[in-house]
Amino acid sequence: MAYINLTNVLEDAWVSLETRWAAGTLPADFNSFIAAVIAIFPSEAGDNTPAERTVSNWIVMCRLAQNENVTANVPPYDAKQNPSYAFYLAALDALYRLVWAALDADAATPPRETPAQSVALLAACNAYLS
Amino acid sequence: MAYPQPTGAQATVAGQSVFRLKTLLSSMGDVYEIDAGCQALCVGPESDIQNIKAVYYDPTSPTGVQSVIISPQRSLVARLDARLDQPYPSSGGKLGRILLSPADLYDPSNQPAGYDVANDVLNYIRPSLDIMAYFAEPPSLDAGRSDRSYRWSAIRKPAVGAGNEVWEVIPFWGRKYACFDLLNLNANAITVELRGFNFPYEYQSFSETVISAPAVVAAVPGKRRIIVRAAVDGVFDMLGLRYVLTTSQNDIFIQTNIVTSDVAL
Repeated sequence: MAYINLTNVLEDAWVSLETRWAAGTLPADFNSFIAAVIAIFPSEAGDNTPAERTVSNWIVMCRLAQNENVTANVPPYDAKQNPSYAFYLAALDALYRLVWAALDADAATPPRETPAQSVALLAACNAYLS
Repeated sequence: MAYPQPTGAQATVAGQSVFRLKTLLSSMGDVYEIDAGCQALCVGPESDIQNIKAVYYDPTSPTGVQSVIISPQRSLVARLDARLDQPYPSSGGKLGRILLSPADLYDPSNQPAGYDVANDVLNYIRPSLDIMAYFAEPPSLDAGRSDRSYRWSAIRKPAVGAGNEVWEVIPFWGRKYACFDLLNLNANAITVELRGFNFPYEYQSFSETVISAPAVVAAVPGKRRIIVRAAVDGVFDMLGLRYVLTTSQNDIFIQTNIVTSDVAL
C-alpha cells in the first residue's frame, strides 16, 4: 500500500523529463534536488528504517547522473545548451527508481516510509521538474 | 526487498571466500549493500535479472561516484573497495559501501491488454537477483547463467464465475531461447497464447508483442509446443502465457513445462 498516488508521481516524472529534454529546458542542476531528498530521508545516522536506508542509497546513485552532465560546464559553455542525452537518461533512471524505492511498501514488511516523507518526496520531485 | 538485508559482513567474519546475494526483487527501486571489498563481481547462476549495476566510491570521478554494469556476458574481475571510512561526497554522510541494484526494468503492476482485472487471474513470477562477490581472487571465473525451468501440472480457474483467463508471466531478461511444452489432460480444449513484454520508464504501460497467437490445445491428450528464439521473435523482459478456459472445473490439469536459456538454440 503506497501512501500517495504512485501513478501521478511516475507519470509526471516521465512526461516532465521527456518534454523538457525535448524542449531543451531540462534542469541541469540535480544538486538542489538531491539536497531536498537528503533532508527528507536522513542518511547514515538515520539509517534505521527501510525507507531511510534504501532512499539514502539512491541519493548516492542520483549523483551518477551528475557525472554525465559535467561536460555542460566545460568551455565553451552555452547557458542555453541542452544537457546531454546521457544525462537525461541517467537522471530519468535515477529519479524513476528513487520514487519506486521510496514508495514501494510491501505489505509483508514494515512500511518503507511515513506519509509525511512520501508527501515531501512528491513535492521535491515536482519542484525539480516544474 | 528482504530486510534486514545481508551485506557480506558475516561472510567476511566467517572467513568465506565468496559472498552470494540471492534475493527476490520487490521493485525496481531495490538497492543492496556490500560492506566488504571484493576481488571479483559476477552475476550468479540463478539470476533472472540480466544486468546488475554496482556503484562504488571513486575519488577520480567528478561526483565521487562511479558505476559498472555486470552481466552474464561480462563480469568485473578487479578489486573493488567498500570505503566505510569515506562518505560519498554531498550525500548527507552516506558511507562508501558498494551498492548493488538491478539495471533492468521490472514493473509487476502492468496488466496485459484484454486482462479483466475483476474476474481473471494474473500471476507474475517474481524475478530473483543473484550476485557473487569473491573475497579471494578466483582461479577462474565461470560466469553465465544456468538454464531456468518452470513446471506446473495444473492451474486454478479464477474464483469469480465470470473469469475464464489465467496469466502466468515468467522472467526472460537476456534470454535467447524458450521452449513451452503443453499437455492438456482435460476433457475440454484450452486456448493458449504467448506474448512478450518490455517495460519502459512509465507506469503500467509495457509494450506487448504476440509471439504465438491464440490456438487451441485439444482435449486430452492435446499437445502444443511453442518455441521462442531471439533472432526470430525478438528480445523481451518477460513472457506471458495466457490460458483461456472453457470448463467449469476448479483445477485445470494442463501440464506446462518451460525451459529458458541464454544459449541461442
